[in-house]
Amino acid sequence: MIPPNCHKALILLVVFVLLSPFKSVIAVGMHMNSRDLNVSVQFLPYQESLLKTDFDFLKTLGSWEGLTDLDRKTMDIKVGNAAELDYWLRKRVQFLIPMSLNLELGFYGEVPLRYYPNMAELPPNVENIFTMADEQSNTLMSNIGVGFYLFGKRQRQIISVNLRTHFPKIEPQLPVLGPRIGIIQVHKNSFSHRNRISVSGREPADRLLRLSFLFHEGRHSDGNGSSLGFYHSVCPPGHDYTGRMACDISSNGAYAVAALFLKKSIEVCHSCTEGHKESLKLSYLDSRLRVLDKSILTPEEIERINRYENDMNIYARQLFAAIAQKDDIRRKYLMDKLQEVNAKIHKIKKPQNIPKTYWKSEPETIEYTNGFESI
Amino acid sequence: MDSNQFKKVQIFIILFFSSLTLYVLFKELKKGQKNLSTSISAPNNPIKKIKSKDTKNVPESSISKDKTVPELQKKVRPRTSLSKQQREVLDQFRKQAEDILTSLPSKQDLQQLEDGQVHKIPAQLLDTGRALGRLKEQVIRYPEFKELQEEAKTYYKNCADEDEFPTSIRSLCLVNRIQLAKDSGEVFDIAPYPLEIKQLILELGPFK
Repeated sequence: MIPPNCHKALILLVVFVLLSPFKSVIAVGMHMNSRDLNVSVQFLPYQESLLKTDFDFLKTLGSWEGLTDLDRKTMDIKVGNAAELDYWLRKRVQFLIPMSLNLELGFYGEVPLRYYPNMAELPPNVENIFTMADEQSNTLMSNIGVGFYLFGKRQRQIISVNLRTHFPKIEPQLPVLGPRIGIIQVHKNSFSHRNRISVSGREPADRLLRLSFLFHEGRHSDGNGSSLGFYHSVCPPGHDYTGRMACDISSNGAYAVAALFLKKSIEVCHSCTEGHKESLKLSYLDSRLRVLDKSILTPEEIERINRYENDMNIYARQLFAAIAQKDDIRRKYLMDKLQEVNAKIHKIKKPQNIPKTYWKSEPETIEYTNGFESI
Repeated sequence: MDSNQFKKVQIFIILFFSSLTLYVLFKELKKGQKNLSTSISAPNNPIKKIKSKDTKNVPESSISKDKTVPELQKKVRPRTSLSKQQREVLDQFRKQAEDILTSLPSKQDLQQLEDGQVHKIPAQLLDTGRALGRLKEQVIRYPEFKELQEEAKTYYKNCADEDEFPTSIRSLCLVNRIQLAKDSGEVFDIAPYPLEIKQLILELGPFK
């Protein structure tokens, strides 16, 4: 006699057999979620809840459409769906801690190391860029993990960090073996009314804004040699932030990543109000403008750009006329033309064949299979 | 019968027939008048029917028949008087727009911020984003309110034209100005704006 609930077990068995060809996909999915996000117990309950639910919101985000090759190159992604973005962020952001508390640092092992990856190559102006953000600095978020790694690299020591006050179950001495340690400090102002879009701070647009900050910080967990940490550059004369270390000369730096995330997320955020989208658009434009173009152009390049700009003005005028006449075919043709001219200008301003434009994003790591080899 | 008597009979006969003719004519005339007045006051007036048919067959003029009277009035003479509610909405919009324009941060304001404040979007720009968002919601809420739409066009153009404003704000204003131009079937010249702004706005797809 067949037991009464046996049919359920049979159904499960059939489902398992049917899914078996996809078990590699399931395994990848499990691996993708293997790195958990840890939110410090030192956050106020509402802050902790916001940060955790932001990650939950990311999982509900619709797939990005119209992703170009350059977009893929900017973020090292393939399809731009929620699972991929979640994976991207978790690889780079692991520990979220409040900015107000100091961390206990130490050396992991007493002796200096003989070998550190890319020892001869350090990011430019490294002396000026290692500063720990504190409560007074008003930096909304800061990736201090990469700073610890860089500090250790310069000292030829492995730095250890004690995060037990934030995560009681974690091992007391956490070795910083690469920039992807993913320790992000979050300033209390990140939750303040002025840094929200809506009054509650819980609307989809608020979440996208905070997530864009995390994606920005996530990029700082990448890089090797001179690209380590994807540090920012000084903004040129005439820029909104002239003279400040608030720009990127790379096309795949933290500002480019945040800008791409915002632009694509605005397109798929159907629950965002038009009013809230204005704030997100402004945030996108602010980030996008910090991705710098070539600083010096030849007279020939300037002339070509001027010619293309002239074409752009003509196409735009014709486009308005086509829209007024409700001529959709012509409108589409002119829109393509505009984009084509725009791409040509971009190519002159930021040549895509020069490796310096897109920095190496693979993170460097210290291998320690049989203990560290010391000097 | 002598000749005098014969003449008298002749005159009598002529007068008799003349009177008879006049009488018949008068009668006919009266009958005709009566028929005409009856046909005008009849409920199923054939003349009327023809008239209305003729009106329908008149070729279309510039004024479409489908339009309602208020719409036609709007077309014929520009609306000069607004309702009390419309006036209030417009005044509120104007004030809101004016307040935002005067409170927008300048490039110089951004450059004077601390290092930490410029690492991510500064709070000043987020304030601006929220304010521009409220304004945009009004523009979307009253698409048929011509005066308000015109006011918004002027506002966005002023904002996009101001060199002192940060490029991000100018770009967003220009995107909105283009959007309104597009919606109203107007040709808007982007040539005077810096190339950087033109390239940026194209990325936001205002022509879609």
